[in-house]
Amino acid sequence: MKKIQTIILLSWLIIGCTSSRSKDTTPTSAQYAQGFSIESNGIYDILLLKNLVPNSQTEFRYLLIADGIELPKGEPYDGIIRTPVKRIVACSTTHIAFLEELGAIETLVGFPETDYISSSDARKRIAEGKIIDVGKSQQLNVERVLELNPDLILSFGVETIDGSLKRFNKMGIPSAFIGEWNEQNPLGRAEWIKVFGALLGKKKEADERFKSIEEKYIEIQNSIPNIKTKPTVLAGAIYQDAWYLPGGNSYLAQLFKDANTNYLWKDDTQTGSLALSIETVLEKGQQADYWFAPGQHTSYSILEEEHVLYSKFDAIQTKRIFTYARSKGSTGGLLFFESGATRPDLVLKDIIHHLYPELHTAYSLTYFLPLDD
Amino acid sequence: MIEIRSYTGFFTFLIGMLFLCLIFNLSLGSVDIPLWEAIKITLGYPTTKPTFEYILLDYRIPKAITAILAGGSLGVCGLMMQTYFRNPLAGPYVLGISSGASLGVALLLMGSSWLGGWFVFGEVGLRWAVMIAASLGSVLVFSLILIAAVRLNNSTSLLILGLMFGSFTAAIVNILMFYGSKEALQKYVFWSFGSLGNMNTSELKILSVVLFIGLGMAVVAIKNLNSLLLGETYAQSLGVSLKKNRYLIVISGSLLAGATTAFVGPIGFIGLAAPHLIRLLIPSTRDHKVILPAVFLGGALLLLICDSIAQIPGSASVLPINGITSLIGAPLIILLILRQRK
Repeated sequence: MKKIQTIILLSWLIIGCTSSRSKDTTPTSAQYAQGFSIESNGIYDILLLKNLVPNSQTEFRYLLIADGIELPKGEPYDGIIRTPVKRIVACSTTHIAFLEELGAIETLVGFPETDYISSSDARKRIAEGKIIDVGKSQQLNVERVLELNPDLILSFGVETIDGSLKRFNKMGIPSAFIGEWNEQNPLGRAEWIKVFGALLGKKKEADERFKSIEEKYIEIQNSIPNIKTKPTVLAGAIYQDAWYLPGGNSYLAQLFKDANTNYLWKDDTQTGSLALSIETVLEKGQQADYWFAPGQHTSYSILEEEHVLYSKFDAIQTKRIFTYARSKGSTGGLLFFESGATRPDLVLKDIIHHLYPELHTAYSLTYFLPLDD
Repeated sequence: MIEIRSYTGFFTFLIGMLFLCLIFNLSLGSVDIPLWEAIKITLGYPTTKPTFEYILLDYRIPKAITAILAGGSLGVCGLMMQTYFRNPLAGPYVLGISSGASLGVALLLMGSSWLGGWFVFGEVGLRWAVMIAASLGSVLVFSLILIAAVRLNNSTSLLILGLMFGSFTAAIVNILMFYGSKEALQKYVFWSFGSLGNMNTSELKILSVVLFIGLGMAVVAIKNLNSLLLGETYAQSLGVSLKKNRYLIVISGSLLAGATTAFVGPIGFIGLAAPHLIRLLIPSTRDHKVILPAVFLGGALLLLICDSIAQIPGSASVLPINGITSLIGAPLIILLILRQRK
């Protein structure tokens, strides 16, 4: 952990040097997140976004400036966002969770494919017609978005601003990318709340909220009992001819590490998912103590019917398989993909609870549930 | 019968190769199972590592059987189509059968939201639904072809009709893909990669039964196929009922191509390449009594080899089978043609 912190600190120092163009601003460096930084000078903020997709070199600079204040001269920006934003079109359910954490769900006016949304408050507003369906996330319905007249469109990470977003930008609707999904550190994901804080004019609340989640996360980590051998962990599931599982540097792998387990593919260097031959996974993971996130599968009977090899794993015999596919919202969206990023403390606590059920006896699970029979 | 006997050597070679490739296919994979262990497990002796047993008995053997059945059937189907249409470019999918299957699967995966979310499946349900949708799609196109076959007089019109059906279904699939959700699109693309290793015993049983019916019909059609080599008019003068013959070939071909596509996804090139491969190896005969069983063995051999390569022995990664078949098949045929020229 200390090593990572030093690396992050060093990299921020370097970045701090290269972006010394605006000397009058004080950077609020992110502690865990790699994808953003916010520089502030008391009048306006500069939001730097990078690392939005794996191996990306692209950087975006946004000027966040309050309504009515004159724009600073000179420097070019990828977008100028007037704060606090009051009308948002978001494109990922995670954005909704961040808005909710800051009590700002009323700012959401449009969303593509609203069925994916699980949050009960947001669903109520969809029913009341206060959140409008705006088409597909890759292809927003131009007319509907224009009719909503949002202050900002939140998109997920990309390498370049694509055609349709550019069109909105030309029409005076800025867009920003939220790259939380490319953060491999669970706390790094949650830290993106600070970006939402800056956009919504709720910086202080965002800092406080993050601090409390961070404290809870560390507290849960500290509650793990001392053990001699770490339990082994398997993950993922078969699709067609390959077994898809999280890479050794992925978000889930980091969670397994923070839960003090031995994730069997921890030495791999991928940040995304791996497609491995079924044979290799069987050989390596057949005796794994625990099995997390078996794809979309929700019950032992489905697993056993789906592929004959599943039944050969010890974890299926000992019934130690846990999935996020069972906690769904009323219209079928998965909670894990909506609010999991904002609440790493709860995700970790779920995992730890399955490893040591005696530790938190009265705990009710949020994301990772045992499979059905 | 005399014809077959003079090719005993060739058949021994083919069967020997198939056996050899089977051994290779079973012993090579991402996990290194020593050949001796593999033989012991196959013969039912206890082994030191239970994972070896699972990998061999529950994964590699069903996969190899699927490869043999699917490869052989696609080859036979391709041969029949090439003979029937008297066109070396014809293959198992020329009648639009696989396009029909693709349309069925595309409608199921990407069109279900249009149909008001009728189809809500669990993962297992979805697997069967995909197979049923693919079969229904094949049967639909097949019925249309059959109706056309009644009305049309010559095979060329039928060939063009099959191509038109193919374009038509491809267009619908395209539109569905444009509107499909990311998840559905992903599922469809993955289906189109093909998969040999995802079959359980009951699925394998159903596939074998359908394929054996199709192959049986192909065997019955051998004599007529031989007459067709001389042209439809000549065949008619030899007493071949063109209509009856057409039904037999179309039904057999649809069963073979439709069932394989439904169960393992679209597998390209084998059906086209296997007949050419065999004809290049034994250029002296065109008798289907020899060619047809040889093409079955050749198709099985090709797909088995492709599967071994797709597993990338020794590495933890795998390649999609449908990407490998053409990659291996095309250079092989080019090589054989160039050598023959010399």
